[in-house]
Amino acid sequence: MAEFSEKYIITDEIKADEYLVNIGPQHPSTHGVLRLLTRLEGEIVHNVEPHIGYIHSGIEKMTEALSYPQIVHLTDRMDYLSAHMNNEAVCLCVENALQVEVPERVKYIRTIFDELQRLASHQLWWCASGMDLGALTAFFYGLRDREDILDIFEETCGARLTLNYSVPGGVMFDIHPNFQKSVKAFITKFRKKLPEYDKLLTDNIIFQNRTKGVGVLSKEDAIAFGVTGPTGRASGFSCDVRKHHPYSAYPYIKFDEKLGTDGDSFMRWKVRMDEMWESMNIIEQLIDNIPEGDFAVKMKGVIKLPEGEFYQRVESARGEFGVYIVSDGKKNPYRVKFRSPGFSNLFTINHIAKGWKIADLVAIMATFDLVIPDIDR
Amino acid sequence: MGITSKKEFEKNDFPVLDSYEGGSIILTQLDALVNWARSNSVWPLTFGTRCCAIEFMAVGASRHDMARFGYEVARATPRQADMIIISGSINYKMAPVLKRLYDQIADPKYVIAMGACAVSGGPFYYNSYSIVKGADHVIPVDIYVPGCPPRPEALLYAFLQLQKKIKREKNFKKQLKK
Amino acid sequence: MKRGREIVGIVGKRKPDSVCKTSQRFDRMVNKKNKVKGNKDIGLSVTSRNKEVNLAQSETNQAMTNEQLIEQLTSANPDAVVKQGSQYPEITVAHDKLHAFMQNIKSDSSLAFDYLVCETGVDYPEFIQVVYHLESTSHRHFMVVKANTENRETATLDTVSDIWPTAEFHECEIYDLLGIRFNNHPNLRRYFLDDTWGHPLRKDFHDDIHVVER
Repeated sequence: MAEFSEKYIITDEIKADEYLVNIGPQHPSTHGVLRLLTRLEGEIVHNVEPHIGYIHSGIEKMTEALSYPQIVHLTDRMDYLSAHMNNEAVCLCVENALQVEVPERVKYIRTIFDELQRLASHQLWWCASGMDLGALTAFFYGLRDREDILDIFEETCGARLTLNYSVPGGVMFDIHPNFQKSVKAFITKFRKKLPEYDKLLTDNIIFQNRTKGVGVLSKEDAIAFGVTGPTGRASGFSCDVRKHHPYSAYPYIKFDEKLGTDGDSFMRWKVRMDEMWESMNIIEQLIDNIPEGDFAVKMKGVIKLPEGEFYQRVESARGEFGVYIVSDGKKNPYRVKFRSPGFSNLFTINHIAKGWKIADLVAIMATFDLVIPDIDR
Repeated sequence: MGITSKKEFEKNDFPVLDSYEGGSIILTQLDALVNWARSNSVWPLTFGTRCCAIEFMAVGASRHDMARFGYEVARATPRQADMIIISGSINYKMAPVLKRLYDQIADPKYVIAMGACAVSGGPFYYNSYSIVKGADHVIPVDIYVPGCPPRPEALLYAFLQLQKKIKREKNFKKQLKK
Repeated sequence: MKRGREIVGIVGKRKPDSVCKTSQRFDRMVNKKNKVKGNKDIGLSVTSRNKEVNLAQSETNQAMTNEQLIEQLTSANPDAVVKQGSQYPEITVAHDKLHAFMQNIKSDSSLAFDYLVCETGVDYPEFIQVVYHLESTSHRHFMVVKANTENRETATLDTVSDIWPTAEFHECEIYDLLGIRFNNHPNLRRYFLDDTWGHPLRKDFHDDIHVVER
């Protein structure tokens, strides 16, 4: 049952009946190695302080010694659930800087892969957050269907998770001859499976009681905290980069940006479920119309960007992913910054979890869909 | 192999068995029994740091199903677990935590280093300031699984290798030799 | 303390449909809170000049072109340096005028840059630069603001975390990796590394123990 207690004025000193609990770094509900230092009074959360850095790998420093095609391969070790979007962001940034126009075929292939990746990511989010809320069946259902998408990935680019498929100038190989057939088969199958997901959790009264009205994030706060992706859209913040700054094949297609109104945990859940339907619509619009042509343009052996700063934003499965490259005209970048969606999303947690019970904190964390290496980089 | 001195006789746990003809055969059979039980109920700890954790989840789920080999469920606390699968990179801030988790697991305990990051630092070997160059700098590792990330089949193969390793252990003989 | 317990008790007795009530109650609370916040903003930042702009702008609520945007910004801030030929409109502000400039572009309703997309620190030989990528969710403008610190040794800059709350966390990251101290920051601490480390994204960072260079 969702319960909310009045917010307290938090002071730095810990009161006599408050105590501190460390959730993490090794805890199943933190989805990785995040540490939440929570201040509790009984079950009620007074303050949550996220401590990160347990998987910090210094990717931004490493990129300064690498060439641009090499950077692409590091990016899918950050947010491994939206690996292709991360690859694409760097590739688009390099292509825009060099003013290279990629073939239409590449745009279509990249967009289809984006949406397949989004589906796979949302499926994994569905089963992991179901498990956080105590529904173990969700874990088996979600990962069963996810394997079908991974098979499609494997057929074309040989990898299941870290695809490394986009390269500056196009994609690494042409699609597999069976690609269109297997994508269509998957979508027909998954359209029948998705109502099962709703039946299992979304319509479940216990699940609804645990999420409805819990952890409300208002639209103003979502904008102020820079919360993007399905989490921000559930609060009514229209932040879909695919809609506002379209890239690849997104200008050619019709799709809805799913906006929520309540901004509570249930709405964040619902927006992601709706996005899965929308992703399938997008793929269906593109899959039959992939134009003939090359799968890549010929790039120079050593790619050197002109001097200047370049920023590219794409919509990853978690929100707005940005790449900011400062180039001094050499083959290595001067500075690369990755704007990761999870970083901004995570730090709202103190703002919205105050006053809720610790079990609600898990529900809020589950619907935020955090990937920790994406936050830590 | 028999008992040679009186001192050694008193120290051993099963002195009577081994001092008779054929006693060591019984010990070997006892070893085999214990190892059979141990090797078929190794429960891993839910410990995932990077991309390999997703493949570890895939191994636990429907298609690959690690429960077939006795790796029944992943436990959330180290006190109930028998092994750690280090799925992902370990950095200098995380290393003391990993050591502590390892110390909390009851003996006998096993470690699988899954993926290039845990084996050697992998893609973060050069120029990264915060990644430990291999998890075996922190805790002893039994099985190394290369790959970035390894396929679920590779992890299943590592499970089978670990079972073989457990089956070769000589628990009682070891006690006699001490 | 007492009040919280009482409320929990009441909610606990409610029937299953109390979920909606709770959420309505919370909505009211949030609205109340935002109202207070809004009043505070207007009281602090909007000048009388801006109020006039507000009235004029409300009738024609449409996006400006990039040229108009730069023109408006430079007319209000003559010292600011505008870079030509970059990907987005780009403006460099002096470090002592940064906070006032930022407050102005957020509260001015014709600009209304209310979404801080990204905040980056870049290390240059003489100074450290902080780059702000800003977007307006109502007009859909996009702009880049840059500010340089005076020097590299005692790099300080004013915080913008009171204008955009998300900056609080980005600034902690910049402090951790580049060592810029932000004035008036509510809770400046290192996120990724502990205090024994240097600032690794500085170009002169050197570590023989942890780094294998290639």
